[in-house]
Amino acid sequence: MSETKTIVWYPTISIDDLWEGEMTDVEVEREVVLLVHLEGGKIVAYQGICPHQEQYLADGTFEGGVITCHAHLWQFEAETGEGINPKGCRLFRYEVKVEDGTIYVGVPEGTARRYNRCVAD
Amino acid sequence: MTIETADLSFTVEDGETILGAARRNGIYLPFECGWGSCGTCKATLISGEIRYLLENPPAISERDRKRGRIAICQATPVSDVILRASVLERLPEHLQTRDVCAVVESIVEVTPDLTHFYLRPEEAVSYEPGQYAIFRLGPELRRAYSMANLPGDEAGLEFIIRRYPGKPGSEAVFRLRPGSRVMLEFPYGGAYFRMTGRPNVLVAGGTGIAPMLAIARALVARRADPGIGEFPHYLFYGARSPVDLAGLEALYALSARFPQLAVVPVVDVPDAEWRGETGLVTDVLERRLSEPWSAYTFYVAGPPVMVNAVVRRLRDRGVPLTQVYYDAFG
Repeated sequence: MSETKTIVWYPTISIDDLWEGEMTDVEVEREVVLLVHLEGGKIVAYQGICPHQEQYLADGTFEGGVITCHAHLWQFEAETGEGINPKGCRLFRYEVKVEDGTIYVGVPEGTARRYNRCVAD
Repeated sequence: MTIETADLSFTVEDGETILGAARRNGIYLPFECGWGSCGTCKATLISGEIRYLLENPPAISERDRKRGRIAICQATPVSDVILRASVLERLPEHLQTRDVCAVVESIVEVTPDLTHFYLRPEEAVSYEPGQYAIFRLGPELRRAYSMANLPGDEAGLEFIIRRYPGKPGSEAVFRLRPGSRVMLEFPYGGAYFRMTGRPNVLVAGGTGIAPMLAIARALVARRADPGIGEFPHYLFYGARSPVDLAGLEALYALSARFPQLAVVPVVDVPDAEWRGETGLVTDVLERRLSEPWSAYTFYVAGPPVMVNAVVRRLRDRGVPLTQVYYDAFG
């Protein structure tokens, strides 16, 4: 992520609505954003739609540090957004901060595309 | 019917899908399965009301409903509708889908439940082996069936269709007679044959044999091509009992022409003469595949329970999911 870009912060949900070990999604600036509360307390945010097809990642499962899309079983590391299977496919990652119990998602200004796509080869 | 994002308006006929009407008007919206299963065609309903030709399309989750996202390949408007959708400049090469009228040429019963239908389209059609057509069988009655042979076959388009007594789609297909005319939407699907430079493993269950037969035929037709001829390929074909293995003779004939294609039938319930594999197709894969599984390209078609079990097993065995092709039907 480029340091020079200005991040615009958008408040989303309360941290009380996303327990450790859970994920959900929210809409930020017309994009669906996946929020994941990792074991250990950290919160991360990624593109909310699977890079494969138009499916919500939040409809899938988050278990053992792995996000699995319900549709075609694509899997991603919850900690990094890195593809486990298929490899080489990474979720677009948003910055996250928590202030006064609210989860904020940071959108880098001027980034037209906040959605990585991967196709079958 | 208006697409807000592109400032386009068009009319949808009674009982027509939004996707089909857009296509008829030269407006190309993203899609793949045409059946409400893959989610590629999801769009956001800004205003108006729709209903689905197929109730509860599998790709539409509770989240989609809350956000007003709809599957336009199964949706028909019941009022004026405004949508937010992306518009393509042209359709992808393998999805030049259109409506084609076809005449039933012949109908051949192969097992008590399975019947081959041969249809002659009234204009030249092209598709990729593994793709399917949607039959329009009556007002709002549509069903998807895969072509079992290659484009340009003199016999016409071959379909292998199972009879489900009492089900409206099945009853309508089995009312067709030689000479009957059917409208086809043609072609659909993303699980079509690609040249990947890897050996291919085809896994079929039940009528899933149709698209796998088409891909097997493509392998045989292209056996002299680099990336095909030098590899061993497999076709695993699971069915309830030996009598349900439709098209096995055709498969053995293919294997005779291209011995690198191994045909492995698998049944749940063997009879006294059965000498082949018995049990779950996933276990047979374990017994038969010799290379590390990530060395293969996989194509899977059949009942959703089988397809899911196979895909899970492939994933667990480290096969990159980008090397696994299947159309998910809910």
